[in-house]
Amino acid sequence: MITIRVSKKFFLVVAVVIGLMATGAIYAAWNTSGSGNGYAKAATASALTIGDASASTTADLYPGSTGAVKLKVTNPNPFAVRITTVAKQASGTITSDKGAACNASTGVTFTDQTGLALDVAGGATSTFTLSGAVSMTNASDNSCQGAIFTIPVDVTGASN
Amino acid sequence: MRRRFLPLLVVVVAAGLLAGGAAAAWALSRSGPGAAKAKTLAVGSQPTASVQGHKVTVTWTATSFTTGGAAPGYVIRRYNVATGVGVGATNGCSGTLTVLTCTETGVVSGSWQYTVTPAAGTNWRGPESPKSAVVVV
Repeated sequence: MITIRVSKKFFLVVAVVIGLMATGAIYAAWNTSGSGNGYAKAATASALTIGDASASTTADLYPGSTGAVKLKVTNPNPFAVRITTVAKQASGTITSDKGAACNASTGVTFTDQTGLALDVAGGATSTFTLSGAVSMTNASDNSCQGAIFTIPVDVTGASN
Repeated sequence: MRRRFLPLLVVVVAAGLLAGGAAAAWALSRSGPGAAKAKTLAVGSQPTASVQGHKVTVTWTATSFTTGGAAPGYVIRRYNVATGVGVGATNGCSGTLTVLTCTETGVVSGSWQYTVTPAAGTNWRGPESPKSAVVVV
Protein backbone atom coordinates (compact mmCIF):
# COMPACT_ATOMS: atom_id res chain seq x y z
CA MET A 1 0.00 0.00 0.00
CA ILE A 2 1.27 3.41 -0.96
CA THR A 3 1.05 6.22 1.57
CA ILE A 4 0.88 9.75 0.20
CA ARG A 5 1.94 12.46 2.56
CA VAL A 6 0.60 15.96 2.09
CA SER A 7 1.10 19.08 4.08
CA LYS A 8 -1.62 20.44 6.36
CA LYS A 9 -1.81 23.62 4.28
CA PHE A 10 -2.30 21.70 1.07
CA PHE A 11 -4.96 19.56 2.67
CA LEU A 12 -6.95 22.60 3.81
CA VAL A 13 -6.78 24.19 0.39
CA VAL A 14 -8.09 21.02 -1.21
CA ALA A 15 -10.89 20.78 1.35
CA VAL A 16 -12.00 24.35 0.76
CA VAL A 17 -11.99 23.84 -3.00
CA ILE A 18 -14.14 20.73 -2.67
CA GLY A 19 -16.54 22.63 -0.47
CA LEU A 20 -16.87 25.46 -2.95
CA MET A 21 -17.38 23.01 -5.78
CA ALA A 22 -20.23 21.41 -3.87
CA THR A 23 -21.76 24.84 -3.37
CA GLY A 24 -21.57 25.65 -7.05
CA ALA A 25 -23.08 22.37 -8.05
CA ILE A 26 -26.16 22.91 -5.92
CA TYR A 27 -26.54 26.54 -6.89
CA ALA A 28 -26.39 25.58 -10.52
CA ALA A 29 -29.30 23.23 -9.96
CA TRP A 30 -31.54 26.22 -9.18
CA ASN A 31 -30.17 29.01 -11.19
CA THR A 32 -30.50 29.13 -14.93
CA SER A 33 -27.53 31.41 -15.19
CA GLY A 34 -25.35 29.38 -12.95
CA SER A 35 -22.66 26.97 -14.06
CA GLY A 36 -23.23 23.27 -13.82
CA ASN A 37 -23.65 21.86 -17.27
CA GLY A 38 -24.24 18.41 -15.91
CA TYR A 39 -27.60 19.37 -14.46
CA ALA A 40 -29.96 19.10 -17.37
CA LYS A 41 -32.99 19.45 -15.08
CA ALA A 42 -31.88 22.72 -13.58
CA ALA A 43 -35.02 24.44 -12.30
CA THR A 44 -36.25 27.83 -13.32
CA ALA A 45 -38.44 29.55 -10.76
CA SER A 46 -41.74 30.56 -12.27
CA ALA A 47 -43.77 33.43 -10.95
CA LEU A 48 -46.56 32.71 -8.52
CA THR A 49 -50.09 33.40 -9.69
CA ILE A 50 -52.54 35.33 -7.53
CA GLY A 51 -56.03 34.32 -8.56
CA ASP A 52 -59.54 35.55 -7.93
CA ALA A 53 -60.52 34.53 -4.41
CA SER A 54 -63.83 36.37 -4.34
CA ALA A 55 -65.85 33.15 -4.47
CA SER A 56 -64.40 32.03 -1.17
CA THR A 57 -65.02 35.24 0.75
CA THR A 58 -67.30 35.37 3.75
CA ALA A 59 -69.29 38.51 4.41
CA ASP A 60 -67.90 39.86 7.67
CA LEU A 61 -67.17 43.54 7.12
CA TYR A 62 -69.38 46.39 8.26
CA PRO A 63 -68.66 49.90 9.49
CA GLY A 64 -66.52 49.79 12.59
CA SER A 65 -65.47 46.18 12.17
CA THR A 66 -62.50 44.17 10.95
CA GLY A 67 -62.66 41.31 8.51
CA ALA A 68 -60.72 38.66 6.68
CA VAL A 69 -59.00 38.77 3.32
CA LYS A 70 -58.89 35.74 1.06
CA LEU A 71 -55.81 35.12 -1.03
CA LYS A 72 -55.62 32.44 -3.73
CA VAL A 73 -52.09 31.53 -4.70
CA THR A 74 -50.92 29.10 -7.36
CA ASN A 75 -47.35 27.85 -7.25
CA PRO A 76 -46.37 26.46 -10.66
CA ASN A 77 -42.93 25.44 -9.44
CA PRO A 78 -41.94 21.90 -8.52
CA PHE A 79 -40.82 23.09 -5.12
CA ALA A 80 -42.80 24.42 -2.18
CA VAL A 81 -43.03 28.14 -1.52
CA ARG A 82 -43.56 29.92 1.78
CA ILE A 83 -45.25 33.30 1.68
CA THR A 84 -44.05 35.54 4.45
CA THR A 85 -45.43 38.98 3.63
CA VAL A 86 -48.62 40.31 2.09
CA ALA A 87 -48.67 44.08 1.71
CA LYS A 88 -51.01 46.45 -0.05
CA GLN A 89 -49.57 47.77 -3.27
CA ALA A 90 -48.31 51.26 -2.65
CA SER A 91 -50.15 52.73 -5.61
CA GLY A 92 -53.05 50.34 -5.54
CA THR A 93 -56.64 51.31 -4.80
CA ILE A 94 -59.20 49.13 -3.10
CA THR A 95 -62.25 48.78 -5.31
CA SER A 96 -65.60 47.02 -5.09
CA ASP A 97 -68.09 45.30 -7.34
CA LYS A 98 -70.73 47.90 -6.41
CA GLY A 99 -69.63 50.72 -8.67
CA ALA A 100 -68.56 54.31 -8.34
CA ALA A 101 -70.50 55.34 -5.24
CA CYS A 102 -69.02 52.58 -3.13
CA ASN A 103 -65.59 52.91 -4.70
CA ALA A 104 -65.54 56.60 -3.80
CA SER A 105 -65.85 55.71 -0.13
CA THR A 106 -65.30 52.05 0.60
CA GLY A 107 -64.00 52.83 4.08
CA VAL A 108 -61.84 49.72 3.72
CA THR A 109 -58.18 49.69 4.70
CA PHE A 110 -55.71 46.81 4.55
CA THR A 111 -53.12 46.19 7.25
CA ASP A 112 -49.88 44.80 5.86
CA GLN A 113 -49.21 41.27 7.05
CA THR A 114 -45.68 40.22 7.96
CA GLY A 115 -44.12 37.20 9.60
CA LEU A 116 -46.51 34.87 7.82
CA ALA A 117 -45.86 31.21 7.08
CA LEU A 118 -48.27 30.44 4.26
CA ASP A 119 -47.00 27.34 2.48
CA VAL A 120 -47.97 26.44 -1.04
CA ALA A 121 -46.85 23.03 -2.20
CA GLY A 122 -45.20 22.65 -5.56
CA GLY A 123 -47.76 22.66 -8.36
CA ALA A 124 -50.57 23.44 -5.96
CA THR A 125 -53.17 26.16 -5.50
CA SER A 126 -54.01 27.25 -1.98
CA THR A 127 -56.49 29.75 -0.65
CA PHE A 128 -55.49 31.52 2.53
CA THR A 129 -57.48 33.50 5.04
CA LEU A 130 -55.82 36.58 6.49
CA SER A 131 -57.99 37.16 9.53
CA GLY A 132 -58.43 40.73 10.65
CA ALA A 133 -56.41 42.06 7.74
CA VAL A 134 -59.02 44.60 6.68
CA SER A 135 -61.09 47.10 8.58
CA MET A 136 -63.99 49.32 7.60
CA THR A 137 -64.61 52.83 8.87
CA ASN A 138 -67.97 54.38 9.63
CA ALA A 139 -67.62 56.43 6.46
CA SER A 140 -68.28 53.46 4.20
CA ASP A 141 -70.95 54.31 1.66
CA ASN A 142 -74.37 52.70 1.97
CA SER A 143 -73.97 51.13 -1.45
CA CYS A 144 -71.06 49.06 -0.11
CA GLN A 145 -73.43 46.68 1.65
CA GLY A 146 -72.77 43.19 0.33
CA ALA A 147 -69.83 44.38 -1.73
CA ILE A 148 -66.87 42.24 -2.63
CA PHE A 149 -63.71 44.29 -2.36
CA THR A 150 -60.64 43.75 -4.49
CA ILE A 151 -57.47 44.60 -2.61
CA PRO A 152 -54.29 44.93 -4.68
CA VAL A 153 -51.46 43.31 -2.75
CA ASP A 154 -47.82 42.36 -3.17
CA VAL A 155 -47.01 38.85 -2.03
CA THR A 156 -43.47 37.98 -1.01
CA GLY A 157 -42.06 34.58 -0.24
CA ALA A 158 -39.28 32.13 -0.95
CA SER A 159 -38.75 28.55 -1.92
CA ASN A 160 -39.26 26.44 1.10
CA MET B 1 -1.28 14.57 8.12
CA ARG B 2 -3.55 11.74 7.32
CA ARG B 3 -6.82 10.52 8.76
CA ARG B 4 -6.85 12.94 11.62
CA PHE B 5 -7.83 15.66 9.18
CA LEU B 6 -10.69 13.66 7.71
CA PRO B 7 -13.26 15.16 10.12
CA LEU B 8 -12.07 18.62 9.13
CA LEU B 9 -12.59 17.77 5.49
CA VAL B 10 -16.12 16.61 6.23
CA VAL B 11 -16.91 19.81 8.10
CA VAL B 12 -15.67 22.03 5.29
CA VAL B 13 -17.60 20.15 2.64
CA ALA B 14 -20.76 20.22 4.77
CA ALA B 15 -20.38 23.96 5.25
CA GLY B 16 -20.12 24.36 1.53
CA LEU B 17 -23.25 22.36 0.98
CA LEU B 18 -25.18 24.40 3.53
CA ALA B 19 -24.01 27.63 1.98
CA GLY B 20 -25.09 26.35 -1.39
CA GLY B 21 -28.52 25.48 -0.06
CA ALA B 22 -29.00 28.98 1.23
CA ALA B 23 -27.96 30.49 -2.06
CA ALA B 24 -30.44 28.25 -3.87
CA ALA B 25 -33.50 29.64 -2.03
CA TRP B 26 -35.66 31.55 -4.49
CA ALA B 27 -37.03 34.87 -3.43
CA LEU B 28 -40.46 35.20 -5.03
CA SER B 29 -42.80 38.13 -5.16
CA ARG B 30 -46.02 38.71 -7.03
CA SER B 31 -48.78 41.27 -7.22
CA GLY B 32 -52.43 40.34 -7.36
CA PRO B 33 -55.84 40.71 -5.79
CA GLY B 34 -56.94 39.78 -2.32
CA ALA B 35 -60.67 39.70 -1.64
CA ALA B 36 -62.95 40.67 1.22
CA LYS B 37 -66.71 40.96 1.53
CA ALA B 38 -69.11 43.25 3.34
CA LYS B 39 -72.22 42.32 5.23
CA THR B 40 -75.76 43.42 4.38
CA LEU B 41 -78.31 44.79 6.82
CA ALA B 42 -81.60 42.93 6.97
CA VAL B 43 -85.00 44.58 7.10
CA GLY B 44 -86.02 46.17 10.37
CA SER B 45 -88.62 44.47 12.54
CA GLN B 46 -92.06 46.02 12.81
CA PRO B 47 -92.24 48.05 16.02
CA THR B 48 -95.02 48.41 18.52
CA ALA B 49 -96.07 51.81 19.81
CA SER B 50 -97.97 52.83 22.90
CA VAL B 51 -99.29 56.25 23.88
CA GLN B 52 -99.35 58.10 27.17
CA GLY B 53 -100.40 61.67 26.74
CA HIS B 54 -98.00 63.23 24.25
CA LYS B 55 -95.42 60.53 24.81
CA VAL B 56 -95.11 57.53 22.52
CA THR B 57 -93.02 54.54 23.51
CA VAL B 58 -91.70 52.55 20.57
CA THR B 59 -90.34 49.02 21.00
CA TRP B 60 -88.81 46.64 18.47
CA THR B 61 -86.79 43.46 18.28
CA ALA B 62 -83.18 43.23 17.16
CA THR B 63 -82.31 42.97 13.51
CA SER B 64 -79.39 40.96 12.24
CA PHE B 65 -77.21 41.26 9.20
CA THR B 66 -78.28 38.80 6.55
CA THR B 67 -75.21 36.72 7.35
CA GLY B 68 -75.62 36.99 11.09
CA GLY B 69 -74.62 39.39 13.82
CA ALA B 70 -76.78 42.09 15.33
CA ALA B 71 -77.20 45.41 13.65
CA PRO B 72 -75.21 48.08 15.53
CA GLY B 73 -78.00 50.64 15.55
CA TYR B 74 -81.50 51.72 14.59
CA VAL B 75 -83.14 54.85 13.22
CA ILE B 76 -86.78 55.60 14.07
CA ARG B 77 -89.23 57.44 11.83
CA ARG B 78 -92.74 58.67 12.50
CA TYR B 79 -95.40 58.88 9.78
CA ASN B 80 -98.48 61.08 9.73
CA VAL B 81 -101.34 58.75 8.89
CA ALA B 82 -103.38 61.54 7.31
CA THR B 83 -100.68 62.76 4.92
CA GLY B 84 -98.34 59.79 4.69
CA VAL B 85 -95.38 62.08 5.32
CA GLY B 86 -92.62 60.68 7.48
CA VAL B 87 -90.10 62.49 9.65
CA GLY B 88 -87.27 61.40 11.86
CA ALA B 89 -88.45 60.78 15.39
CA THR B 90 -87.36 63.43 17.88
CA ASN B 91 -87.03 63.96 21.63
CA GLY B 92 -85.86 60.65 23.02
CA CYS B 93 -85.99 58.71 19.76
CA SER B 94 -83.73 60.81 17.55
CA GLY B 95 -80.50 59.83 15.85
CA THR B 96 -79.05 56.33 15.75
CA LEU B 97 -80.10 54.27 18.75
CA THR B 98 -78.29 51.25 20.13
CA VAL B 99 -81.21 50.14 22.29
CA LEU B 100 -84.46 48.36 21.42
CA THR B 101 -86.93 50.86 22.84
CA CYS B 102 -87.31 54.60 23.08
CA THR B 103 -89.90 57.12 24.15
CA GLU B 104 -90.58 60.15 22.02
CA THR B 105 -91.90 63.06 24.00
CA GLY B 106 -93.78 66.13 22.86
CA VAL B 107 -95.52 64.37 20.01
CA VAL B 108 -98.17 66.64 18.54
CA SER B 109 -101.75 65.53 18.41
CA GLY B 110 -102.67 63.31 15.48
CA SER B 111 -102.53 59.75 14.22
CA TRP B 112 -99.08 58.31 13.83
CA GLN B 113 -97.17 55.20 12.79
CA TYR B 114 -93.54 54.35 13.49
CA THR B 115 -90.87 52.42 11.61
CA VAL B 116 -87.43 51.07 12.46
CA THR B 117 -84.48 51.15 10.07
CA PRO B 118 -81.33 49.16 10.93
CA ALA B 119 -78.16 51.25 10.78
CA ALA B 120 -74.41 50.77 10.78
CA GLY B 121 -71.86 53.53 10.72
CA THR B 122 -72.69 56.93 9.32
CA ASN B 123 -74.21 55.77 6.06
CA TRP B 124 -75.29 52.17 6.07
CA ARG B 125 -79.03 51.70 6.31
CA GLY B 126 -81.08 48.55 5.97
CA PRO B 127 -84.58 48.26 4.58
CA GLU B 128 -87.16 50.09 6.65
CA SER B 129 -89.53 47.98 8.73
CA PRO B 130 -93.26 47.76 8.14
CA LYS B 131 -95.14 50.52 9.92
CA SER B 132 -96.45 50.00 13.42
CA ALA B 133 -100.13 50.01 14.24
CA VAL B 134 -101.65 53.48 14.30
CA VAL B 135 -101.41 55.37 17.56
CA VAL B 136 -103.55 58.42 18.30
CA VAL B 137 -102.00 61.19 20.36
